[in-house]
Amino acid sequence: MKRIFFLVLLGGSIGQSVVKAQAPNNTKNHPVTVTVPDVALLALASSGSTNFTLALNAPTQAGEPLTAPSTSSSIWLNYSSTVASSGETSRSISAQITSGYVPSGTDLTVAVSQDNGGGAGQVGTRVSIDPIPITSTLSPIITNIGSCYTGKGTNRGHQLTFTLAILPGSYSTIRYGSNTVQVTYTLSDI
Amino acid sequence: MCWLSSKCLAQVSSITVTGSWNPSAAGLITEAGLNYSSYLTSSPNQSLVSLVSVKSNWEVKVEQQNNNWTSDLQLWIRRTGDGTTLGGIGTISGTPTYTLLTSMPTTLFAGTGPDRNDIPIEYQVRGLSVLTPVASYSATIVFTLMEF
Repeated sequence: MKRIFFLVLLGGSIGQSVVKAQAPNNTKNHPVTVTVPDVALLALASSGSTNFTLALNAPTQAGEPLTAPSTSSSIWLNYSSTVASSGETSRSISAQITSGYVPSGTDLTVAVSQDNGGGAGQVGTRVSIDPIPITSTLSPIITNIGSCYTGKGTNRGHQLTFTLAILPGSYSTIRYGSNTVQVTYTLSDI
Repeated sequence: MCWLSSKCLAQVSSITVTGSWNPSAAGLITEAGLNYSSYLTSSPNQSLVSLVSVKSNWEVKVEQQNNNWTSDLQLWIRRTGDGTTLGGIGTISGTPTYTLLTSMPTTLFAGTGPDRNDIPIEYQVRGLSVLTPVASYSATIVFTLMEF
């Protein structure tokens, strides 16, 4: 009996030493990675169509000139932008005529308002308080756009006021007719 | 008296976590002028937690260790199910609503019994904005089994 008791005690000792050797494994972890993407979205907003007509109206009495200028303020520029914290940290919006042409003797300009305050972040700044000629050459109209959003729709973002006027000293080159001009806006990294 | 039983070797507490999560906000803004309007949410069983406990009561705490994180974003976590037990023994408790992860360990759920397997976990990222700089932000979620 003494020998049997001794063996059982030895077995118990071995078992206890195994349990102590297996340390608890009580912590685990895993990674989470969230990707914030580059965002560069630009849209035109209007209460109706973004097409509009500017017309130099004929005089009603002989000897008077065409009625000018003609303006339209129906379009607003909305945008959402997320830039990186280094590298390309700001963007601009440029405009250019990509089809059609402005009738001879006239010029087409756009006046850009400051952002209307419907969004948040680093919204852009208009290039000039003065009207900017719209030509077939890409011309910046809003710069210094960072990470921001303007809000969507009319009365959000920047209002564009287009003006068709008679070029000083060019009245003799005016011809009657109708021209269609397409203006393209581009939001791009500077 | 565990040394008299074959269970002696199995009585080691442990916790395992499977799955990871790498969401992207690409394409969530579809219209110019808008900000992000929703949270990033994982599948309800994005991670599965299993545990073995040598004591009658246990709880699982979670914490967030930031690697390259931004204070713009908040990471939330919740349990979406009870998981299973091998012998049908034990309970699990803890509200299944979202808990904000921080650097301080917070109890996610608690229970009783010797094991609990495949407890489904869901994650959510809040605070996402177009004002958050373009980058990949990473953190580590730490699960710790506490027994008492």
